[in-house]
Amino acid sequence: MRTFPNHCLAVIVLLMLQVPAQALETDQFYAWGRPIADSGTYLNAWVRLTIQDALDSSASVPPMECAAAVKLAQKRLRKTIYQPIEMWAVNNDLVDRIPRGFEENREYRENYLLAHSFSMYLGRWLNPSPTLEVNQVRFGTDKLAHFFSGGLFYYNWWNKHQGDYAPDKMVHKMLRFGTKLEWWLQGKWVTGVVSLGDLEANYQGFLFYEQLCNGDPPLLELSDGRWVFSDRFDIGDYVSPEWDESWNANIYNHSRWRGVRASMAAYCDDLHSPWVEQQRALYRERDVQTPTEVLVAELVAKGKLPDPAQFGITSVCAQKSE
Amino acid sequence: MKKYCILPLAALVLFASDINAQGFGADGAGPAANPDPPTADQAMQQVRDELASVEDRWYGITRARWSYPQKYSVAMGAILTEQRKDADCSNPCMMHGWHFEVEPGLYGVQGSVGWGKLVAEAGSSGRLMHTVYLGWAFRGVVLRTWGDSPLMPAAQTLAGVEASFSLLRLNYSIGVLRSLSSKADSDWVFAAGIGWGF
Repeated sequence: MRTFPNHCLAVIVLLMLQVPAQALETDQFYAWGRPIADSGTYLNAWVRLTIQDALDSSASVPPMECAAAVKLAQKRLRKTIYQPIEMWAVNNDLVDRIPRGFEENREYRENYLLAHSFSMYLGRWLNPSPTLEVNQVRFGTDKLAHFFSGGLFYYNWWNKHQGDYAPDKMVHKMLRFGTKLEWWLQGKWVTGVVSLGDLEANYQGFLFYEQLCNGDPPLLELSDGRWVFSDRFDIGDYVSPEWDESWNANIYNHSRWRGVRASMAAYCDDLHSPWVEQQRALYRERDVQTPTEVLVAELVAKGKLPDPAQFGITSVCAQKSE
Repeated sequence: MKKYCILPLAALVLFASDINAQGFGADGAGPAANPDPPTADQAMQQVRDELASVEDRWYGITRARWSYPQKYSVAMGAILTEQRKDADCSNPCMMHGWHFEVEPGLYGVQGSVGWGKLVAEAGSSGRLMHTVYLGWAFRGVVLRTWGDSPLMPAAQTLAGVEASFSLLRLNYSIGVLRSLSSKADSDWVFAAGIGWGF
């Protein structure tokens, strides 16, 4: 009899345990028109302090290899299930966010996009992530978790498959791995929602990990025998309009979409408000086609993914006005 | 059994009074702290101060479960943990530390002390971790059974260990206990339960 390898079982259990953290949903429509202070400098400070503290915790002589320094950093940045940066961002007085505090949280949970879906739906058993702002881009705190956690999945895949594929195919294969992960374990089959914003954050997280040793110049520098995390790091370099789920539409399964569409339609009146029009004009200006979007377009063309455009606010409002 | 119910109720009252004493309002929101973006150095100092500004806090923990041999039971207890001062836990907080629980049930009462880790939120209570998203704990337990408990004799005292795991509010526990009674049919009792909480 062929036995199932123990390490495979362990990996599956670990991935299943990821579900609660990776299945957090968010709603940027809810924050439309409401001011949020920029949190980029605070997030940068948290990342710098966390990584430098990790590097300083192991002062080996001679200094460790850069890859070992990355391992130290990633152990602090990414935990098995809930991610430290998100736990911090949703629970402090520095990072401005919507909602904030118990009363606002309660109202958010009663009204966010998925609030009216089936009550046994897993996503509703979890707290929806609040919205914050960096460089005039709004996104859920779950994207920070994806950045460090999903980014590490990608980074590990990248290192494991070095030499397996032609260089021009590597990114494509890695992103395909990411979409499968989102489809099977973190999105569609678990919560009924595939977040393209999550995929973007995963990919940007991969770029961050890759830049630690291989950036131009690297973010980790050896100075006087000590690894130093560069103050050039800026989370704003990685954040893009694709992180905002009111701009970059999710893909929903049929049952989830019924409730979401009704909730989303309630924002149609706001779609042409000056604030929303201005924000969407800014996004339009900054939006470029990312490697993830290229892959998604390819999968849509092949019929392997539903077209996300049908789940966007413009499509919902166009149908509503017909 | 009634006298055993007093302990968890007292713990609940204690936490309610603690919440008021700490001045936690119904809404721990407070004003946005950064209307003007700080410089990188200012932000670094503020975050450094914020991360260093911690205190020891007691949080209430609770559990309701069906288990063998207690059958139905409700636990109340508390966990001692170090927490940042500005964390109101209206969103999930991560914490770890020593904790205790007192758990009266239909066929006995269990007292436990252990170490655990959890991600949970307190909502409006500020200090009662009523929604546990993820958690695990190892506990030393003492169980006193009574009434129609399935053990022989029905009334006996046992001591042992329990492992507990919580995911999305649901709690799963297993334990092994040894009877301290010389009249017991079997020295060892395996306990298991499923319920809600931590």
